[in-house]
Amino acid sequence: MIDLTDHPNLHRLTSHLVERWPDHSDYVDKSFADRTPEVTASSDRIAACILKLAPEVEGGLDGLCDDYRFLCEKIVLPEELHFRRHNRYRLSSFAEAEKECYANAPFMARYMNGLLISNVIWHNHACAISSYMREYLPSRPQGTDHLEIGPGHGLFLYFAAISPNVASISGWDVSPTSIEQTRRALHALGVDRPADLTLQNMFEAPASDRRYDSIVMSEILEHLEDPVAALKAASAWLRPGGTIWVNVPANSPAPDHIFLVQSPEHACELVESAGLEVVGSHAFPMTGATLEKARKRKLAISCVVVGRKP
Amino acid sequence: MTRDEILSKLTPIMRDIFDDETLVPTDSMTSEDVAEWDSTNHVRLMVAIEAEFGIRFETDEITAPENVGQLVDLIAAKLAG
Repeated sequence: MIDLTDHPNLHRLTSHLVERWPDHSDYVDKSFADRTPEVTASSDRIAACILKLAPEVEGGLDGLCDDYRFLCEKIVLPEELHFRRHNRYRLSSFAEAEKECYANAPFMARYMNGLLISNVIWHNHACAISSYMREYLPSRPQGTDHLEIGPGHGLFLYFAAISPNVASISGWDVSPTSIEQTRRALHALGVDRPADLTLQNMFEAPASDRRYDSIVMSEILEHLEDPVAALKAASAWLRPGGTIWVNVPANSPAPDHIFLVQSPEHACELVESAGLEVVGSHAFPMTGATLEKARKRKLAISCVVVGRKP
Repeated sequence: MTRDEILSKLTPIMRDIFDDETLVPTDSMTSEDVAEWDSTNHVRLMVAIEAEFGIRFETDEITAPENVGQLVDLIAAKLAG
């Protein structure tokens, strides 16, 4: 197994995971072999967060690791099979995803726990959150009012909360369970500044004078039937010159992914179609693949796009 | 179709999926022997086999074979079935 002893949190998390799931050792090695030192350092910080959050989760760290395995083997694999056979995601409407996934609380809990670990283990997820931590957040102007739509596990909002240039943090989610999860996560991670967490559907948000300098939508657009409409709705809450940080996976089948982003260019087109100027973008291929290979084989790519409101 | 014929048809598929023109599959070969044989490429391999042999795997059959020999046996059983 790859030596991560210089990164104690990563070492503890990956060792625990591989102890629970020995057959995953090669995958973990492959994922970390490709990482820059900066991304590995970000992953260590995320691993530290996960280790702090683990006691809050049923089954603790064992439970998180088992749910990650459940995600890989029982959730993603069947969808990957469908995607490879038919070249499209299995579901195409929000109502179907709601019925199959969102309404199934025990399933969603395991799914979300698995995704929490994926932020460390999956190469594309780790690179995307690292770029948010190292590039996007530090370059926000002093006094930034920051909103995350769909903060879920709370990691992205946590890193905004500890950014000295961020003046206020807010989160909107359509799910009371998710709002509560975010609230608990921020508390467990030691955030003592106020966080405005609101049960809010972005398409139905009541008119207000409130505006933001920065909006984050991480792994949201692929769950929606009309991502451009969502980006337009979100950008209405931006101040002129404000930015949206979008993270959307291409070619990444999952039971609640209904909008297929075909490529990093497609992700940029969505942002531009919403009237935003693309001022930055990244494409992070899945574990074990180069970007060229991921494009050629239609493998998962995390597409990060920063859009600026004119 | 004999096992040798199945293995012969399997070779170009595996070379394409795993991006290795020198790959020579054997019955004892496992995913640990092939650098690019990860879970996603395994699914790609099985779907490519379905198309080439005109068969359809059940979901639990996708991950069942532990080596190439068992994969050949599974293909043979599907062709016979």
